[in-house]
Amino acid sequence: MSCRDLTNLHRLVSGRADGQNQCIQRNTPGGYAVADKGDIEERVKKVIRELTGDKTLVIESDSALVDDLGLDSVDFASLVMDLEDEFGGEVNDEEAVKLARVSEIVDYIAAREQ
Amino acid sequence: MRRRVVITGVGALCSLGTDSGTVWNNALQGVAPVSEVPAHWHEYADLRSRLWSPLPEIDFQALGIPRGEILRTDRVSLMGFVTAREALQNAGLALQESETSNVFSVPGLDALRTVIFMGTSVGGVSSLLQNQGNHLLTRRRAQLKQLLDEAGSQEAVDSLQRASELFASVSYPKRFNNFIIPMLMPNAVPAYMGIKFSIHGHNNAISLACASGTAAIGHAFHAVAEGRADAALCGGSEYLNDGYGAAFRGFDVAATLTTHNDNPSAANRPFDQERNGFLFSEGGAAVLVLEEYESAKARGAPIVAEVCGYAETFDAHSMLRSAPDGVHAMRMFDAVLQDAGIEASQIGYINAHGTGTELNDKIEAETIERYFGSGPRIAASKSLTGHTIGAAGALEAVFSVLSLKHQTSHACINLENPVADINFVREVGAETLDYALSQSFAFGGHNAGLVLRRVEQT
Repeated sequence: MSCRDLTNLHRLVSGRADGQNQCIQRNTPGGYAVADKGDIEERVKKVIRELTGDKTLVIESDSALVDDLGLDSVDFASLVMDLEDEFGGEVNDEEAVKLARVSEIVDYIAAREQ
Repeated sequence: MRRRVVITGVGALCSLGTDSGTVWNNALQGVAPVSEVPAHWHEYADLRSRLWSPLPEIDFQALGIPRGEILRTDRVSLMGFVTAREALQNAGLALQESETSNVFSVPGLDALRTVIFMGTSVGGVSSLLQNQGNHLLTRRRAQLKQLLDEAGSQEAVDSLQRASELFASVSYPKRFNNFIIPMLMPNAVPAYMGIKFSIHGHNNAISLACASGTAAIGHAFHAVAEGRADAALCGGSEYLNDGYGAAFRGFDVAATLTTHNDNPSAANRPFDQERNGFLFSEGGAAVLVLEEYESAKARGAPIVAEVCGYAETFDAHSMLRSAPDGVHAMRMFDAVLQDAGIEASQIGYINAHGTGTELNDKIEAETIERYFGSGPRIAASKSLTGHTIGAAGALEAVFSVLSLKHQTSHACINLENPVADINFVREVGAETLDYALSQSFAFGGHNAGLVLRRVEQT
């Protein structure tokens, strides 16, 4: 979907708000992609790596988001948006801030998609 | 002791193209993009003007900006950044990518002695307007859905279903952006550039409506000339498409836009007697790299032109009308010529403000005639680009600089019966241009001008 000025989005009568703030392509349009946990974990790690821009960052399944990966509150505000962009659907801010490890994000996404 | 300040690189992005070379070549060809505004805008308001100058598609992700950053940054800042990157590249200042963060450094610049001054009139307001849709409508739509679920009669179901469809036809971001504040704040334009380039000098957004770009370059020039900095990234950026034409409507209801709707290619006609308003532009951006002359020469920088003077005055007259006698515009002329240390007769080229409004074009043309006579060549760049508001002064500085470099100028489009007998550029040809004046007369009553000088090209 290409839309510079929401022109095309305006045409969608879908019963739910489906706008994109910057009108960029979504990986999973309309998305609740069903995927195994291994795939989810790889994509979560990719999101975190791109968010920080740190190419040297080592991310393990049990990496603690704050203590190991150095994420702060601003990063969490970005993370929820990037997870929604990657996986579609909604990531609840209040629930997301309680997630402590990469594996817990993976579990959250997997549980949401069942 | 004032130092000389030169321009070593330019970048530009507007309806004519997404890089300065394309913009310049298209300008010489007389390319003046104009089209009907998106059809759905008419569902929200009765618009008098139906025309705009849209931007080309820009794929910021393909330009190397991380996807997440695009979600959290208004287009106005993204445009400023990619334009600045073009300017740095043209200046021969390579970027070094960080391993640990989504930023660059510029090894050829002293990060503490480089300032970033960017003009913008409304900053990231388009993001705010889009998110306002989410803010106002999300719960109302849910409430409407609940009414529909509870509706007792078929008639009620039909009415509420129709209401739901009307609501659903308005699209807005699904999430109220967590970063809407740093997106909309006007200082995000220079701040995003400073963060991306790891530049720690003074970082200012300058907001004087249509004179923002001129003023940003002028203040950067003075900072380098007076020794407060050794280099600057300066210019302007503006993005005015909120998706539904609200910003457009704002200019429309103030009766500032052209209503020659039935002849789009002839509608935008600054300084012509048939003009009746300006051509709204979706937006634009332009950035100049300024450097202190001796250090630019020492590093073998390409020197495009020189900045010699800057001045601004204020009408204290009206938000929308220039002061009728032009006295404060002429004070600006006095001041900028004095700042440049030259006489009026030395100005060979004026890049006029020339928006196409009935009143202000007349005042500007008469003021030019009174002060400069019919000597200098007059270019009206907005006849090509439309009005890019906060980017206009910067785009016009780029046109002025490239005119000096190439000793030619683009023509004034749709100028058939000029409002005054001054020396408009009617067709592209060889010119002899030594000093140029690029001027802006903005809403609010701000008058700003830059004097630029040709530098021998080696």
